[in-house]
Amino acid sequence: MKCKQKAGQVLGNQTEPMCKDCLRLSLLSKFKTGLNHQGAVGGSDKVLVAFSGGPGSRLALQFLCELQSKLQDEAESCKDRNSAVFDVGVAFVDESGAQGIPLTDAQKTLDEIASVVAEVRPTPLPLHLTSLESLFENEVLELQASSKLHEDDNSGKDNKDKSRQRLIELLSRVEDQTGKEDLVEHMRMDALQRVAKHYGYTRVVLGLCTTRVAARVLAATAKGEGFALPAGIQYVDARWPVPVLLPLRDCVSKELSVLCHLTNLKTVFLKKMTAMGNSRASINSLTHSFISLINEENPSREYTIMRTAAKLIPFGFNKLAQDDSMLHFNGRPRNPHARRNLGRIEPCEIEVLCPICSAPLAKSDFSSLQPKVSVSDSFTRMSLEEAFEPSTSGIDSELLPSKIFRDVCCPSCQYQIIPDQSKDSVLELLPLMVQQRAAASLLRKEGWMREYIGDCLLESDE
Amino acid sequence: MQLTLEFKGGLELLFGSVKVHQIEVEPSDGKDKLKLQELLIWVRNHLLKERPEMFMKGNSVRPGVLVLINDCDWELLGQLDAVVDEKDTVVFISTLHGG
Repeated sequence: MKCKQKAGQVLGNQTEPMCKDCLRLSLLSKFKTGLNHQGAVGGSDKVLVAFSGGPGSRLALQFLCELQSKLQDEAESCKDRNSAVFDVGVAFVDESGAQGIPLTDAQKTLDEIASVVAEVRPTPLPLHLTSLESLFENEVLELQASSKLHEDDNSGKDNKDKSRQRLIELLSRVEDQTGKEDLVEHMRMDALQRVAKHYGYTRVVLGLCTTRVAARVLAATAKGEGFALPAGIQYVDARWPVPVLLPLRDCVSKELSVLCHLTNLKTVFLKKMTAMGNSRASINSLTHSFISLINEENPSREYTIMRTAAKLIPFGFNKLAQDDSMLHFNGRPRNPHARRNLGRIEPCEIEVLCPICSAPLAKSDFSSLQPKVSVSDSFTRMSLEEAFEPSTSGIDSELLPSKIFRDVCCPSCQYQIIPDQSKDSVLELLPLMVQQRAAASLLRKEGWMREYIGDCLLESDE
Repeated sequence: MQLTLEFKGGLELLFGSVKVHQIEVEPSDGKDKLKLQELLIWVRNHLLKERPEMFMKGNSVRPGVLVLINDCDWELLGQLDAVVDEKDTVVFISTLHGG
């Protein structure tokens, strides 16, 4: 037994009998390591936890609040007014529109989620409820902790109904099941980023664990997403307007689930496309099942897969900018010399990202340089951050012809989500922000091509 | 023999959306103890409402389903050979849904 004092209750770290307390300490230690990677969370940060109801995000929320409380107590006991402590908020993305779940049932789920979040700590946590269909609403929503899915005001209700219908129509036009699931996942991240940006959060924490990372690695291999694979499995992913953290990356789902049960942490099961469905329906569900299967024989397999993939060279955006908070998350000034050696990472260059899934594009995936497309002047200097906000300037959403749009998408999205070049049926229903990102990516791609052949270009006076 | 069975992580959907079941099961051959393997067969025959392949594979639980007997991992108790006693609590947790 790990502590040699209490009886072992669970086989942790693949082969080590642990009591409840040792299991908790083991997971908390891994969580703190992930959180403190590159000093990802400092005293001045506002951290938004993406809560799905599952054990991973439930524990991420619990650990964060416990750390916050401990730091606040330490700051008060030392009476150190300079010792800032990070703030915590919670976001939940309602996906009932994608599941065809009636609104009344969806509201019950929201109430359950709110009830679980209310129990996390004595002082209420800010809870931001959003939905996939909110991406189609041009106005910035005022989100409240106890918001209903429909506002009492009829015009707001009509707007939400139309958005929901558009979401349902969009997903019905994606014929590939894997593509449908992936599109929902990409929209989920977009919805989280909108909430985070609107409410001034500086970090988004996901409850992604080793098990799910391992399944993603296998799925990405099958989908041809090899180039972009390192991007989404590091502790830090700063390609988004609000950087995303994966502090539970080194924790397996079994330990997270067992700890939630042993410590009576309530979780909420939400039927998603990949959960409790036909395991052969999509690449994602197949890989989830496969990971569970190979773990039966050897519980360390999922960890091995994750660690192997983690050895791939990360992108420049997997490193936080140097001017980020100089305070350790315990409020003490950070020692810059104690940072890990990230010398293998190239200085951050602006990657060209797929407008649908934000995967970095391999330059070898670009087709031949397209004729210059006339793009609205307002996109000339648009940054990725700006492209995240739905435009209110009345710009026509159909900015790019479908062939041009597809040319700046990654091969995986081209094949699974928008496979048919002759039809615009999916493109015309994608959120406006996706079209705007496509235009921004096209400009970046053209800029890269121009730089690549720069030596061969004549100066204007030659 | 009276037992409490609990289903979590979405498994409750296979059991009429009921998470906690109080059951009474007779060990075979008049024994006073029940092996987990026998209990699983009983659960499949008497409690499972739909999609048995989501809960069981062969005579064991499907990969990805955790089993705890009185809050102890069944891997420490002999898995299918683990023995349950009167008034024990057996918890089944699916890890196929995470996050």
